[in-house]
Amino acid sequence: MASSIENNNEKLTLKSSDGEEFLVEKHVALQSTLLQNMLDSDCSSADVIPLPKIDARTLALVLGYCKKHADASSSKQGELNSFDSEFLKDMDMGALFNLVLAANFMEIKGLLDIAAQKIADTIKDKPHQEVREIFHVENDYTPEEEAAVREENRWAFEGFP
Amino acid sequence: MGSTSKSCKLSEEVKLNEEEDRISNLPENIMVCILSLLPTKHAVATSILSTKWKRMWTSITNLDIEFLDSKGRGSRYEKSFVKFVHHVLLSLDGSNLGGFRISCKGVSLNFKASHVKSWVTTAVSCNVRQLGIYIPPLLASRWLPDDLFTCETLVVLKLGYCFFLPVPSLVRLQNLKTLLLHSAVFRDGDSAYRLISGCPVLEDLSLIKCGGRGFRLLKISAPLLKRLVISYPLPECYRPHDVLYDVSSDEYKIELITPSLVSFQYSGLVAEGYGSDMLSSLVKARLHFELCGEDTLMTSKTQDADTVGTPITKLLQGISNVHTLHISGNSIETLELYSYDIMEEPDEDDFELCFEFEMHQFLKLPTFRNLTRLKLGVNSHVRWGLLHYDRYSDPDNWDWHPPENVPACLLFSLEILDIRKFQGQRRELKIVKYLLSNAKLLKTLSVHCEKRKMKREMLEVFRSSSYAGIWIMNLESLPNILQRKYALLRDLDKSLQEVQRQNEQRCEQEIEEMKREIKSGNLAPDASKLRFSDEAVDEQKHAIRIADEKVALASQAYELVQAISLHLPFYIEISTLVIQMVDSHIQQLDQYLKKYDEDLRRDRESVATTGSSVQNVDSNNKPTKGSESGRGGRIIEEHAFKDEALNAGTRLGATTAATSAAATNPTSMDLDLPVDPNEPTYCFCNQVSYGEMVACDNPDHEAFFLLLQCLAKSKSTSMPIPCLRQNLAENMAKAASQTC
Repeated sequence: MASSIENNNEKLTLKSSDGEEFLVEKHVALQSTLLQNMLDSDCSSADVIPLPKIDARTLALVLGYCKKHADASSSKQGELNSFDSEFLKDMDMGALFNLVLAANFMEIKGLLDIAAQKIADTIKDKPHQEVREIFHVENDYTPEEEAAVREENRWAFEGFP
Repeated sequence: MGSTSKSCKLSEEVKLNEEEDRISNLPENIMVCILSLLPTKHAVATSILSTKWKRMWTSITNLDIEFLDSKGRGSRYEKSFVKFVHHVLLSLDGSNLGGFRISCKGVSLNFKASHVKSWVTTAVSCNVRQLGIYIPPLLASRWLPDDLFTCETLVVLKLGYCFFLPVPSLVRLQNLKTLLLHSAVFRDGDSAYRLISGCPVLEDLSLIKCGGRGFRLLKISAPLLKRLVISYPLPECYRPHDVLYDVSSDEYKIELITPSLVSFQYSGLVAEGYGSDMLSSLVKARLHFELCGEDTLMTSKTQDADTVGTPITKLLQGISNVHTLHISGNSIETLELYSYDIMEEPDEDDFELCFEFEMHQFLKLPTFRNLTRLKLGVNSHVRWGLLHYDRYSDPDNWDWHPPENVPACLLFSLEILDIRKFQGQRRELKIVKYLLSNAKLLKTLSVHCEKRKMKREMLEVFRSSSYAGIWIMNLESLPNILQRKYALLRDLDKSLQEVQRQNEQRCEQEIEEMKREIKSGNLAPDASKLRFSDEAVDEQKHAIRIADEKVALASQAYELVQAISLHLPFYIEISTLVIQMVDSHIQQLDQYLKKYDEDLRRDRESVATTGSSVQNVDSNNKPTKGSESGRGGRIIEEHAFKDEALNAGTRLGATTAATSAAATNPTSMDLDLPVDPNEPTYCFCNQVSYGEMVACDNPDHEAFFLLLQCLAKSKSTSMPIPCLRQNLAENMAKAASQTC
């Protein structure tokens, strides 16, 4: 415990899939459960930690989120909430998927939640054909199968356009 | 390694551009996360997207189902809904249900309570952690399975809207932390006690409009309870079928055994009794007592003349450790009404000074020792008359008397004081004055005034108090203060001018005399002349003092406005006014400097001529030299004054510019300021300096300043005013040194 306080200003290096290196303060990195576990198991903070699944653009976003949440005190919950809602605003779907995968990989629960919520909001209240178009989902049901699915949970499709 | 991953990434991007179906290929846990965030209706509906999605929703961990209204779609629609819920619950993959919230406000009267019972049973078998059920009034009395009351995984339980709550004999909710009951009807007070006692780790408890027939004692015993909300117990209890319980004759008591309670909210009628001895840890309390119906009050009055009123007193005594206390205006009124009864035979010995004048002194109120925040407000029809000491006196002419001893909370803890509906009457001022002089730790005081005209005394009270907090005062008071300061400035101006004028006269006299003496050749040493020189120096010092005072006044006004404008951006217009005032003050000072410059030049010229003539007449004449050195001293003094004024000018200029950047609309002011007759006019527009001035670039120019508005109609706020002021100061200094 004492060592973690001691090493508060320690920095570690993260390497993105496209080879870019990011210098991160330890307390910021600790927002990620993955990194936390890595640091706990062996204190190899001097080494470069490769993150082969995350590209530089996404990693920069993730670290921006982590920094904000690591630096803000718990009393500023309202400020964090508004930051969160601004954070994903106007983000295109490709970037959002990269982000949700990165948050999942690095185990950053808060970020995973807000990104998933954003995707859920996109699905909500939309006709199925529109959802298919947004996410490029190909409808591979036969008309008979589709009718059967509708019948199985009829109430779920009530009121849908 | 790096290069391979890079190429991998590139191929990914290419794929993305080819409109890849990324969502269907997300890891399952992310899909579960996304689908669980959707209302269950929408999550299930995603099964239509493609074969991959058909069973995807069955792994969701959170159910949120809402049946609002069948909108005339008939019973088939409702049946379809019931079938849907059953199907969803039975289709779920895991036995790990995080949350189950179901709201069926829209169901018809044919809706069977047994449906809810089987849903809840299924949810409990799925180890539900958060359960929220909102149903319309149901006929059945046993619509909840007994399993629910022994569910080990349950952390949050919320049940709502007009139902009968059957509590089995065995309640063991080991992990329940939050319990909310809305309009629950208990069989008796004991079943409520049994339910709450069966939750050993309960932290949040809300009982909203809960009660029941024969509900005489609400006993809450929860060792870890932190937050408690009791809202309108009893009288608004409805039985299924909206039959009002006959509660008017039911007196009830509330007993709290909650040693960890931090926050307590109570609204409703005054209970017969409050057992609240175990509230020592309380930090925050919010109380709102309602008046009973007229008849209820009358019965209680006649029946229990001695005891009514004491419950509240007892409750307040129980919570006297609070740091924040909120008592609504209605409550105070209620207290008053109840206090009539106690008043009939007031026991002198039992008088205890209330924690504030706020409460009626006939109520034996405790001292709130830890109070840090006090908000005083009264109902519009009650007014501050409530605070009067002698309730039999005329409510319009009452006077307030401070308590004999200053309440401890005032001296040692009160930090934030918020006074509403302040009317500026003398007695109110007395109260506020008392508060200000005794609240030693007060950091913030807010006063909200009703009347537009703030009394002068009020301002004096604020002025004399030494605390450094925020004042939120009636906007109108500010211009008054400023105008007063401005008047003072003008007075100072006048006296300064007078001193100057006298000095000039005397200097001229002296020069005349000297010239005469030189002409007549009579150059005898004269002690009176030396004295005169000294006097002149003194006069100059006097002038400097006055100028200093002016600067101090201006900066005072500036600080006042800054304090307010910092907290309230809409005061910006006012600050603009002060900026203008400070600006014009600087202009005045500058103008004086200019005058002095000219005076000096004149003096120098005359001295030069007389001096040279003196040298011609007699180069060894000591007294003249003395006189001259005296004059030199005067000149030095003048320079000192000039420098000081310059410094003050630049200082003020810098601060003014800092705020003027924020002030966007400086010209529109309601307040009609009198134009100072001493105010000099400028440049070619021949107006006084209402706005910012800039120095003329041409050093030989007669007019030193130009009105910014005249210079350019489009006034640029980004103008580096401090630099201009700096330049001005340098120019002035240069000019001064040249004249020397």
